[in-house]
Amino acid sequence: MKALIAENVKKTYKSRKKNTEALKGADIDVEKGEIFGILGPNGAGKTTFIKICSTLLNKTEGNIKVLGYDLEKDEKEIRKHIGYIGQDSERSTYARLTGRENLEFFATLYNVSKIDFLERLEEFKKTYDNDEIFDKEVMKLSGGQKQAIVVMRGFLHNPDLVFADEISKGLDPIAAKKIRKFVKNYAKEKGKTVIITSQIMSEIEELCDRVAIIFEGKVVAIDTPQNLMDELNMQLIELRLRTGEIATPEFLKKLVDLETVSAIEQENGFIKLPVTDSTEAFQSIMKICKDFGLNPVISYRTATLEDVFLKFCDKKVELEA
Amino acid sequence: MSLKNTTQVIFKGIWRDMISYKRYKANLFGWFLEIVTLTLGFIVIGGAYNFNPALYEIAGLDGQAVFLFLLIGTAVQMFSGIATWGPLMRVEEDIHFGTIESIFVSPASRLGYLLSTTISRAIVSFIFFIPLYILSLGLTGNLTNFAAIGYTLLVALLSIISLISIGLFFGMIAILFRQTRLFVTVLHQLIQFLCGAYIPVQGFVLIHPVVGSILKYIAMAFPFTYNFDLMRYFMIDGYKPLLPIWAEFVIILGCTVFYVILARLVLIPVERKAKNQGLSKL
Repeated sequence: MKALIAENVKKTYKSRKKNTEALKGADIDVEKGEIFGILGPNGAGKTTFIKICSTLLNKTEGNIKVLGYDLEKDEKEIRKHIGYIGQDSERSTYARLTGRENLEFFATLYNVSKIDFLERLEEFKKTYDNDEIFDKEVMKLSGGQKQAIVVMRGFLHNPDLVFADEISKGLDPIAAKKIRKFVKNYAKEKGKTVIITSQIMSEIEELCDRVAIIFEGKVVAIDTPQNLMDELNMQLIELRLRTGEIATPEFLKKLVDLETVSAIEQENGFIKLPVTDSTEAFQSIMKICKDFGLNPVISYRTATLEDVFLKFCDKKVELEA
Repeated sequence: MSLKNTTQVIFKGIWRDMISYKRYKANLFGWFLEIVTLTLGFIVIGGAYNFNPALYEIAGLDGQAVFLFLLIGTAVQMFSGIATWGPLMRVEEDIHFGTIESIFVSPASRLGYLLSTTISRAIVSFIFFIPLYILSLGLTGNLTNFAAIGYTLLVALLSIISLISIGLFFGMIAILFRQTRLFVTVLHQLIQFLCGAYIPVQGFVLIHPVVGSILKYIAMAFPFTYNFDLMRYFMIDGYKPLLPIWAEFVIILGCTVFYVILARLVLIPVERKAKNQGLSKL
């Protein structure tokens, strides 16, 4: 059984002044036990999609089945089986309560028995490997620790599916890594399905089995991160000029005229050259540099998830020939 | 969710609020300061002004009863604050901090969620009510009048219950619209005046025969009016209530049941409407 089937989901926010189409027909399906990522720029519709699936927002059109339940008919049943970690959730706790008290309060909302709650608490302590967050008032915890409590809250009632909206937003890399580690370990160990939105490519690459890219309310790509990167079939040679070296228009023209170079982009002192045959291109580029008396640092890499993201979501950054 | 779980949600919500109150004492102190200021202010007013002598005929209030009248009004007002601010502040706070989504994504009873915070405010209000209540009993010579004590405590309890039901509506307004505080503040003050917190409803006609009568009948549509009226009836010797006592009790009980049922019914479309735009977006 699939954890989520979303077909042609549309959402329009209506107001007196204007209507805003946040989702224009999104199709996503997620297998059980998957950690599924949703990537997209600001305003792409990621959060709207997550909120609709987790019963917080009404969709305008489309069909959604969550864990086999119809979103429209079985809303109450769905709520029992899903967890939700909202965006900006670091603050979404009761500041004067301790981490444990916060979890205890939400456990009651989900009708979690005392025995189950204590069992879950022990699991969390073991996986997160830091006991002090449970005994301090939340207002005295760091941002990462607060977020850990919120993430644990999402898993508190042993849900089959957890929606997580930008779980490491605003966190320092160490805190973010710890949160990611918790989510990955806990979800994989317990066989939970997690649908996670993010703008951090490394986060998606590290956590997700599959990923969908949403752009302007539509799903523009959906596959494993590796397949998406492979499909891009991109090889990139980067040149960093040394101090005092200048890339003249003649030099750039010579580079772009190469048969193996498909485009050229200059950014922050780097010259980026997507190529079709890296070996041939490398030799030709070296020769041109020598002809112009330049000795740049030359590096080579294949496509990253960021390249995939940019390809679909940032038309302005498309490399121009 | 079952009734058992709704009860659990209510109790856990009260538990949450009590811990927060205990750990955030500045809030309680502010509350206390507000009551002391009001009482002191009323002492000054009570000493400076006398009621219109004509009021004795209509309400049984003599000229010297200004302070007593206002003091009892303040005691009852403690509970009107529960209705006005309890659920409203809870919803506002939960929207501000983003907790509301975590609550509304759960299967927990929404009514339980709103009720819990009202009840916890009622408990704290009751603690502040006691000194004012004892002072009122003492000044009206009722400290050993067990019938008066019993009846007034019953009225206090009914006040809380009836106001809790009204508080649900203020909570729902906060779910639907942003910046409800200003609207509710104005409404709160209007209701206070209208229902007799500071001026006897019976005496409205003395201000203006036609407008006063209209205002009096509007006031009689609110259970608040009877909360104030009954409390004064059992405390102030010779006080003439608006309606027969039994009728006032019936109206309060009727209104309470009506508002709770109505709140339960209205909460469903309110949530549906809020979900069209997003709980924290409105």
